[in-house]
Amino acid sequence: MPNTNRILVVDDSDHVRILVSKRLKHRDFLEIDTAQNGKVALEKVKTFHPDVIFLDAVMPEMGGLEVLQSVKKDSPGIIIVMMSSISAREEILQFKEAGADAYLLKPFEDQKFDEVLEKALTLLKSKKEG
Amino acid sequence: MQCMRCKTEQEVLQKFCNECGAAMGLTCDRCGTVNRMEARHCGACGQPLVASLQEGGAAAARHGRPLPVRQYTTSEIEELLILRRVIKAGEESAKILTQNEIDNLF
Repeated sequence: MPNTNRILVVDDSDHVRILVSKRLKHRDFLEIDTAQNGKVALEKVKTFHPDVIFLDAVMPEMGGLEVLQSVKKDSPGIIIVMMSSISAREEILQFKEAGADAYLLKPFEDQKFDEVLEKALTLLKSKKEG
Repeated sequence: MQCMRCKTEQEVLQKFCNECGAAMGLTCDRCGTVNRMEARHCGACGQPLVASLQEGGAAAARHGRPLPVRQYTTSEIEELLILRRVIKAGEESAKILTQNEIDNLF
């Protein structure tokens, strides 16, 4: 039986958190939690110990980039998928350079979400094995 | 188009004659389009072409001699090249990406 993977969904929009969580519930062996801002997300990293974080790039107080940098510094094994409507190459490259593993452009189709989730889980598996 | 010096036919409008190297057209400083020798303004962007052509340079053009196009110093050329690189880098970084292009980055 495969191990259960923990997924944390971080977004200041209730709508996005609900939407993403619902989509994740379609999958077996996933444990899901959510955070409405960067500070709560960092607390949940310590208590929930997520394997994968779906992280909104633009949030009040603490932005996604700051959260990303902090998580990658303390827990580099966590896979981070950025979610944003930002589509400018320069800004996307900032997230990549900070360690983001994937980038999901909002609004996204269910199919694309599933594809990125699959990629994240594959990356996670190879990190755990390697 | 025919070279005014050696009369060789050229397949396309180009800067210099394939046969004798005589100037064939005027290159626009702004957009790089090659225009006919007689042109006063660039056909692509409207930029006025070499002032010397309007002040007697037309005779030189008719005889197929290279025109006294704007002469740049080495440092001016370097500045232009740097400026071009900066503009290109700016355009590149501000480029809007699709999800597929983003996927290729990661």
